[in-house]
Amino acid sequence: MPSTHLLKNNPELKENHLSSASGQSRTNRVLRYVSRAITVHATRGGVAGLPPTQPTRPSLRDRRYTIDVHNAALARPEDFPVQHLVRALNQPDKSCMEVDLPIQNMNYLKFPHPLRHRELYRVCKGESTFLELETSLLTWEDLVLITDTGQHSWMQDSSLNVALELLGLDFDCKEHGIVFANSFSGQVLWRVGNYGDVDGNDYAYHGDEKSLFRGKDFIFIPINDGYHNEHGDIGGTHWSLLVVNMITKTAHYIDSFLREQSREMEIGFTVTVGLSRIIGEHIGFEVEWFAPQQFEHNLFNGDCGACAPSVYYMSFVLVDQIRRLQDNGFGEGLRMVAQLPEGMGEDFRYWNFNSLHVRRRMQKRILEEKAFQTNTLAQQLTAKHDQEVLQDTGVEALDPPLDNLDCLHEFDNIDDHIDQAGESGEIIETEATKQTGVDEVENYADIFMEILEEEDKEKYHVGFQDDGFEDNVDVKDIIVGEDER
Amino acid sequence: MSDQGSPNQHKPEDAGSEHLNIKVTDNNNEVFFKIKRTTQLKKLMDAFCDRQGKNPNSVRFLFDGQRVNPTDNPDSLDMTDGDTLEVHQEQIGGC
Repeated sequence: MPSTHLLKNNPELKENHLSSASGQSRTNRVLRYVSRAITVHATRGGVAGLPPTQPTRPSLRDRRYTIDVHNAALARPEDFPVQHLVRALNQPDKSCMEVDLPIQNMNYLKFPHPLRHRELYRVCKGESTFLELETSLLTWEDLVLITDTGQHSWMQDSSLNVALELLGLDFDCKEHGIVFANSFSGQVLWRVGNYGDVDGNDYAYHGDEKSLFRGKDFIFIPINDGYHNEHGDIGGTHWSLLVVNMITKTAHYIDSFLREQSREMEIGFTVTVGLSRIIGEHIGFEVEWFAPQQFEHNLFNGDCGACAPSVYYMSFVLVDQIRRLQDNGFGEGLRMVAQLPEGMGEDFRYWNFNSLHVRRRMQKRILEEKAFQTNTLAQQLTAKHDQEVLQDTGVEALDPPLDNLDCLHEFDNIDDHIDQAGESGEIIETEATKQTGVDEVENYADIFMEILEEEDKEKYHVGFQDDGFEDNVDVKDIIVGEDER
Repeated sequence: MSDQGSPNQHKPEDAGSEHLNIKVTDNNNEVFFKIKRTTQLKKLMDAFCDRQGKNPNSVRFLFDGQRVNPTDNPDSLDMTDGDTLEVHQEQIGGC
C-alpha cells in the first residue's frame, strides 16, 4: 500500500503514481493562466518545464503546442458550460482499491511571468536615463532635444558627450591612440589651466585625467564657453572643438563661429594650458582660421548657428582621416591632421553639411546603441533561460546564443533583471520589478498600441487590470480584449 | 576625480560598514553626506541641489570622471568612505 511517506522516499513509486495520473507526464505538462478577463490554456511536450529557445543535441522529441485563449466572457465561471462540470464530477475513479492513494492530478504550470523579458520591451519614456556609456549618459529628453528645433532646443552636454563617445567607439579609438574627452574633462582642464596646481601636490587629484590623456596621439576635447561660468544656472551658448595632435604637440582650435580674440578662443587656450600641466608636456596652441563656418540657414530659434553639429561633424571628418592614415601607414600624414587649409570653409559647403542631417545622424547612432545594449541583455537573458531549462537533462543547446554563456558574468546581479520561476513555477518578485514593473508594462502597452493599426484600435482596447496574477505581486498585467460595445 | 588623498582611505575597517561619508563639491562649496551603501544617489543629488538652490536638471554629478546615474548607489559605483562626487554645471550650445 503506497503511502505519502513511501512516495516521497521512492522516486520510482512516485513516478509510477504520477504516470497513472497522467499518461504523458513527461510530455504533456499544461500551462494555464486564468483571470477574470482571460483564460489561456497551453499544452506542450518537452523534457520538463519550459522549452529551450535553441535546437538541442540530442534533439528533443517532437513537440506539439496547443494554445487556447478564451476572452473575458468565456473565462467567467458562471459562463462555463455546466455539462463540463457535471462530466468532471462523474469521472469514474480509476483506483479500484480504497487503500490506494487518491490519484493526484498533475499541477498546472504557470505561464512564465510576462515581465521576465521586460528588457525586450523596455522603452525610454519615464526612464531617468536612456543610454549609459562608460563615461557619459543621456536622458530621453536629451535625445529628443537633439533634433528639436524649438525655442529652447540647445544641444545639451549629455547629448554631445554621448555622441562623441560613440564616435570613439565606432572608430575603435581606444586601440589607436585617440581619445574623445567629454565636456566635463574639458572643464576640469580649464580649471587647471586657469587656477594651476592649487593643492600643490602636482595635480595628484587629477589621476584620472593623467591616465586618460597620457600616451595618446590625438585628443579631442569639446569646448564650451560656459566653462568659466561655474556658478551660474546654465553654462554656455556655444560649442567649439580642440583637437590636440600629440605627434606635433599642437592643439588646434576649430570654431564654426570664429571671431578674433573671442572668449571661446581664450577658453580653448586655457584648456590647452591645463592639458599641458596635467600631462607635463608643452603643447602649442593654434587657431584654425580656415575652419568651416556654420550656415545661418540652419538656425533653430534663438541661436546663431549649428555649432554642436559642426563639432560632431568635424570630429567625424578628422577621426576618419586619422584612422585612414593609420590603416594605410601614412605616419607622416598624421602630422598634418587638424591643420585646416585655406578654402576649407568653402569646401565644407560642398560637402553638403546640413546640421539637421548631422543631428539626425547623432540621434540615430544613439538609438542604435540603445538597441544593441537592449538586444545584448535580451540575448543574455535567453542564454540564462536555456541554461536553466536544460540543466541536468543531458541535453545541450546546438546553437548557444551570443558569445555563449560566458557573457553572463557581465551582469553580476542578472537576477535583478529577470523574474525567476521557481521549481513550482511560482513567480518570485524581485526588488527591481517592484520598483519598475508597472511603468514597464504600461510602456509595453504603448508599443502594442503603436503596432495596432488605426482600425484595430477602434476594434480592440488595451487596458490594465489587477487580476491577481500573483497574490503577492503588485504589478498589473496587460489584457487585450474585445471592446465591450 | 581620483580619490587619492582621501582623509579616510587608511581606514579599511570602514569599507564594510553600512554608511558612507560622501563629499559633494562644485569647486566652490563642499557638502558632506552620510548615506547608506544601498541608498540611491538621487536622494543625495536632490539634497545637494536643494541646499545650494540649484535645479537638479542643470547640474551633472561625476564620480571618477564618469557621469553618475541617479539610480546608482554607492555599492554599484564601488564607492568607499570619503569619496568625492564632483558637480558640474550643465553646458549647452547651438544646435
